[in-house]
Amino acid sequence: MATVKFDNVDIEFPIYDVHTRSIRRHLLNLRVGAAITTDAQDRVIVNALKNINFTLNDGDRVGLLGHNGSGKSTLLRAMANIYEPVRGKVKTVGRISTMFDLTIGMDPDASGLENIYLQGMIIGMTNAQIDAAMDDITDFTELGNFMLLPIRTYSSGMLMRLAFAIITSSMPEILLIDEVIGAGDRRFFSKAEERLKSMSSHASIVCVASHSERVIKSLCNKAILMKQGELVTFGEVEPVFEAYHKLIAAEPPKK
Amino acid sequence: MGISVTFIGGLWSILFNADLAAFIPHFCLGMTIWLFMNNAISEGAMSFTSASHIIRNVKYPYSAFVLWTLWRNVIVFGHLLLVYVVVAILFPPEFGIPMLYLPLGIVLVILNLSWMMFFLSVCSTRFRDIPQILTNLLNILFFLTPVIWVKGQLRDFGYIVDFNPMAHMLDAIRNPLMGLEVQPLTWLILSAMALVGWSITFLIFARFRHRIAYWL
Repeated sequence: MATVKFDNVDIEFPIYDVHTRSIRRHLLNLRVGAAITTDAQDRVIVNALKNINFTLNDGDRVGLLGHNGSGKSTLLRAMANIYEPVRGKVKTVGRISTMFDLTIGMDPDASGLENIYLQGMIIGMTNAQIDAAMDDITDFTELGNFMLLPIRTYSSGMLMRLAFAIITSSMPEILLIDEVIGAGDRRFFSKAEERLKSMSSHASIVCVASHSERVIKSLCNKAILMKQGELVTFGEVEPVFEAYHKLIAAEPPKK
Repeated sequence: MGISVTFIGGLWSILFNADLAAFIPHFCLGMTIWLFMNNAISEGAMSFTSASHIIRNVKYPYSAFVLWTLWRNVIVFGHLLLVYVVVAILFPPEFGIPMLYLPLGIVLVILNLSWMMFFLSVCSTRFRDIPQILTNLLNILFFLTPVIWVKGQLRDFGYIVDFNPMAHMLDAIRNPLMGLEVQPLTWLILSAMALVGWSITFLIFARFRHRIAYWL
C-alpha cells in the first residue's frame, strides 16, 4: 500500500552568494555593526513550490508536465523527501527509489556489471538481492558484452537502460523518474512500459517528469501540470495535455 | 612515509641531538597518527559537500557519508602503521601492561574524530570557507603537538601540550604502542570531549539536518 500525500507544501530555496557562504564574513559583520549585516540578511529566495496539494495512490502512474523551471524536479525531490518542505507536509508510505541522475554511485571506470553492485547498494539492495536480480537486469538492458566494458564507453541511452533496469529490479513501491528517461529509443519504451505496468500491478506509484508527450502518454495513466511552482491541473492524461497545449498557445510568441 | 621517517627522523635527531632509538619511534608514530587525524578531520569536513551528487538525488542517511570518510581513513591509517612495524623491529619498544590500553586509545580517538567530522561537515556545508580555515588551523596545531618534538623539550611550557586536545589524542594511541604509560588526564579529557562533543553535534544535527540538502 503506497501513498504520496502533499498538504499545502511550500518549498523555498535560499540563494547564497560568496559572501553569505563565508563564516569569516559573518563573524566580521558582528564586529563591524548593523550597516553591513543587512547585506548578509538580504538573501534572495526562490519559491520553487507554492501551496501544492495532491494525493497519489496505488497504481497511479503520473506524468509531470511543465516548462523548464516550473518545479517538476523540485516536486520529485520533495516526494523523495530529499527537500523537506518549508511549510506544509509531505507524507509518503512505501519504499522510494529515484532515478534523477543516471550515474548515482556509479564509477565511470568500473564495468557495467560492477556498477550494478555499486548502484544497487546505494539504492538500498543487499548483495543477495542484487545477485538474484542480476539475470533480470542484464536481460533487460540487452547490453550483452558491453556489460564487461567500463561505463564511460556507454552512450546516454545505454546508461539509461542500465540505470532503469537496476532501479526497477529493486522493486520500489514508489518510483520517481526525472527527465533522463528521454534518452531511450522506441524499443526501450515498449519494454519500459511493460515493466512499469507490471510493477504498478503489484501496488506501486510511478512518477515521471518529461517534456516528451510520447514518453508520458506511453507510460502514464495520470498527469500533473506545473506552472511557476504551482500545480495547475491534476487528472487524466488527455485533459491535462489539452491544458498544457493551451498554456503554450496562450503565451505571447517570442520576438 | 617510510622514506620521510628515515630522513626527517635522522635529520631531526642530528639537529636536536636526540637519541635515535627513542626519537625515531616517537616521530614515526607521531607522524602516522597525526596524518590520520589531520586527514580524517579535513576530509571529514567535506563529507557532505563531496557527496552532494548523491544527497541531491537519493534519500540516504547523512551519517553514512561521514562514516565512509572515517572508514577510508582508518584503512589508510592501518596501512601506514606498517611502517611502525619495521621501526619497532629496529628499535623495539618495551612490551608490557601499557600496551593493553591501545584498544581503549583507538576507540576514544575515533569517537572524538567522528563527532568532529560530523560537526564540521554540517558547518562547512553552510559556510564554504570552513575547510580552508581548518587547513590553516590544523597546520598551526601540528607545530603545537609533540610530533616532531617531545614534551620534555618545552621545559616550563609543558602546559601547551596539556591544553591541546590533539596532543591527548596522539598520546592515547602512541604511548601504548611505544609501551609507555598514558596519563590519567588524557583519558579524562578524551572521555569528556567525546561526551560534550557528541551532545553538541547531536543538537546541531537535529536542528539543521533538514536544511543540508538546501545548502548544497
